[in-house]
Amino acid sequence: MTAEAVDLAIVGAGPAGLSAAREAVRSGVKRVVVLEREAEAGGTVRHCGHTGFGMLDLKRLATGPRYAALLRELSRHLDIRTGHQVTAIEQGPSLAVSTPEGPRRIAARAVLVATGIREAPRAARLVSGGRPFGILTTGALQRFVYLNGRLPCRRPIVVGSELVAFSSILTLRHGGVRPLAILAEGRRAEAMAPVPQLARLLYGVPVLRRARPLRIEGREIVTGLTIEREGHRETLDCDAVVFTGRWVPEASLLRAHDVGIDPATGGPRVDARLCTSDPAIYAAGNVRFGVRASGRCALEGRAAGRQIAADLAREAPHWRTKR
Amino acid sequence: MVGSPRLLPAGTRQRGTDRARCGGDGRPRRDGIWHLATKRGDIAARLVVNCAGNFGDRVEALAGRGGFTIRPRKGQFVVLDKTARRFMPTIVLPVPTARTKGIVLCPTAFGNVLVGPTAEDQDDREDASVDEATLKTLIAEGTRMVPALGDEPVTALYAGLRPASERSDYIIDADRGAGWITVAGIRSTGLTAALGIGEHVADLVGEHFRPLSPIAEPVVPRVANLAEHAPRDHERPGRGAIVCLCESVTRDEIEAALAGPLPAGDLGGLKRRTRATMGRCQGFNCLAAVTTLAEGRLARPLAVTRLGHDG
Repeated sequence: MTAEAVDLAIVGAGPAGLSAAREAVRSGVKRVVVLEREAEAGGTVRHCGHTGFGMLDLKRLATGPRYAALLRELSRHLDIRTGHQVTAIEQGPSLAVSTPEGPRRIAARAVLVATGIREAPRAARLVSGGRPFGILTTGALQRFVYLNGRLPCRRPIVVGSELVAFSSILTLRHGGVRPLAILAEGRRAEAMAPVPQLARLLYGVPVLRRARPLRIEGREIVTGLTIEREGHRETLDCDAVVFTGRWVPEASLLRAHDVGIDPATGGPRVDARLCTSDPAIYAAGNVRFGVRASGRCALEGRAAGRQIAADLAREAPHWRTKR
Repeated sequence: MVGSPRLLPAGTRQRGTDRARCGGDGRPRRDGIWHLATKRGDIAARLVVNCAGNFGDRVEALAGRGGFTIRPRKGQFVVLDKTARRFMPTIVLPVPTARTKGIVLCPTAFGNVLVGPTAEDQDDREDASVDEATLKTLIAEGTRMVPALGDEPVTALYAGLRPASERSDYIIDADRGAGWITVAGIRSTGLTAALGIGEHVADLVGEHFRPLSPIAEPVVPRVANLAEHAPRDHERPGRGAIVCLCESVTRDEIEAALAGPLPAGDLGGLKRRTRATMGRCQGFNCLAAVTTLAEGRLARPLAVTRLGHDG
């Protein structure tokens, strides 16, 4: 298979990837492609239906879907290829890409990985019990409600007290449901977090502090959640468990390429230039180590775009001959 | 046959695998004919093949027979991320003991690495739940054998029940006078041996009862290739959208699994046929899209409601 040659291939068309592409093109990089596995560019913010996006990078306040639309609007001149899934990063660097036209290969002088994050699902948390329908994450729930107009539960329990737990509650409210309880887990930072407090004050959601999910009950659909709370066990009736937070970098492409990974975060180690242990591969946005504001990711994407433009210019042949 | 059919006559349309229950009015066999009461009506048969797995002894008892007891033996597994595959070119087994062959590390056809199983005897015939402490033991044992696995993320957890009897060998008996064939107590090697056992049982039928004539136009359900060593549907030019991103499952594959002579009856069946939602994100990205595609097309509908207003 002959490879298409580009200067910069960006993996992921979320806030970081799109911002990096714009900045790289503006800084003079010629052939820039953005590869997005989903059918639409924009990233995870597309299904965050609430407001609070865009302030840091675009200086305006928008809902997630609106912010994603703004990013797409600003990126209209770019070569963004949706439905293109990078399946491997190989030496070169060269990308193996599954495209609607069949497998393709793209050779790039530089690769920027901006693949974002996702929440740790039940399996990665090693929670005991069965595997019935109704075990969710905030991301899964948001896609049900905001992208598919569906609600997969009536009496859910929300686990976690990071900011995203609040997104879960807002998403459920959008579907007309109030969670039975929010479980603030035992870890100190979480148990003291303001999110459960707000959920209780604003929406009357009962907060169970220092409680840990022990076991999911039910065979076909979730019928309950057994929790441990201050040394006692009890089983709460519910029809779904929404696991929120505990962000995991979507770094499997980098991990499989044996780029240096920080075991503490699961994200790639990068230097001040946002370059990984492979000198041609960069990383920006939430894939680096976990959740930050989307605007923060966009700004970091811009920095990566400028940095890569500078690095590519330095190593360009015409530059070397001038020197 | 008590169990699920291997070949379907042309034209039949089976909805998933519904367990047939054998029950009688006190005399299940009259004038050389077995009478089986099932949830879908009564069945009269000259010959019964009992291959009811974890319920094998119960079905045997319904027929007034005995001779063995099934005590399910649970096996729990941890599925590590596909990135772990680079450390595991082959299957690794510890030195076996008298009781067990131990925790196995095994690359899967789908490109993951499997750690397990456990062997836990239990009375419950259906409870295949997993247990946190046991899963941690599995991961520790796997990491002891291949330390690099310690940094690899967990993708999935599962457990299965082996229909263990008090005997170490399979129980495959043909009772000519009773019109009954018992196929029971087949544990983890059963999946590998299933086709051979099926042929053997067909031979027993021919030998002791009457020769079987082949079904004129058998419908053999075909399943798309899900293994990594052969081309997958997502590699086909003109493939359309990928719905499950982690496992690269196309919309066409999901549509195919919901149609045909043996469509998926529930979400579990759809997952096993396509691997949708079974990857590293466990449905974070695709659960909503997969269940929406399956809406109104599963024998057992999912507890998902449509929102009244536009979401």
